[in-house]
Amino acid sequence: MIPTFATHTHLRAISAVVNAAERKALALGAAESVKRTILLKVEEKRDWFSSALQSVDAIRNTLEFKTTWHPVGA
Amino acid sequence: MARLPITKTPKVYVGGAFIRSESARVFPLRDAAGDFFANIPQCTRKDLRNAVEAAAKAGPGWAKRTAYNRGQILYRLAEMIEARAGEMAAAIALGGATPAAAAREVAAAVDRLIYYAGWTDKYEQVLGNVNPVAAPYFNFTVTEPMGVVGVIAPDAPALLGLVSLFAPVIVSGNTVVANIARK
Repeated sequence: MIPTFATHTHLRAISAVVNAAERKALALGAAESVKRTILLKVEEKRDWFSSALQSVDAIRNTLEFKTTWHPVGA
Repeated sequence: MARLPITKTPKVYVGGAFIRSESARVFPLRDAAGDFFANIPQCTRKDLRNAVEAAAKAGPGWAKRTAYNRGQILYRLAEMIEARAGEMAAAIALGGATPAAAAREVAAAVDRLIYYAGWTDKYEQVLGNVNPVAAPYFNFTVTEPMGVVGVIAPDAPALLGLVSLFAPVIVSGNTVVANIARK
């Protein structure tokens, strides 16, 4: 299932907690069509209960920025 | 009279419906002690593609809602998990967690949803910008959701891990296709 995730051209980003082999499969497959991958290592100890894991940065990871101009007073 | 227990059949949640896999196959799910618990659908690559299609269709409607309304809906999700905390904790405890640890995980998952529910109408103020220019026009940088995002959640903690990954993604109007704990 992992390679299908990685190569699906309709996915814009992938956020995953996966092992080394899966990270490689995701990175290889995603190179073609996925704009952003956020790959966390499953081997790494992380305290899921910690409030350090929730932040606006996690929201920013799956956003795109658009810059636009607008005339004053119009 | 002895009563047969009514067991729940876990299924796949796609586009608002609980479906079975198109493969029509199942595989047994066992609890921490190795006892049979339930048959769960064996999903295929085609199921994944169907799910992405459903998410892509749901995307514009979700992104078009006001930020405030998205916050209300995320809050409602947390409310519903809170109301069914016992059921959620029992499901987590099947995987071998102690009842206390399972209850703590459900509480943390609810808190995390509430945290991101609050962000829906606030992240734009933090991440967007009015850029300085030297002529009579405004230059804005605004954020846009990316679209369909794939989420692969860790095996443990099953609920908190999934919530921590998908909540920040849907805050801004993205939609998610999630592959959840495989054990």
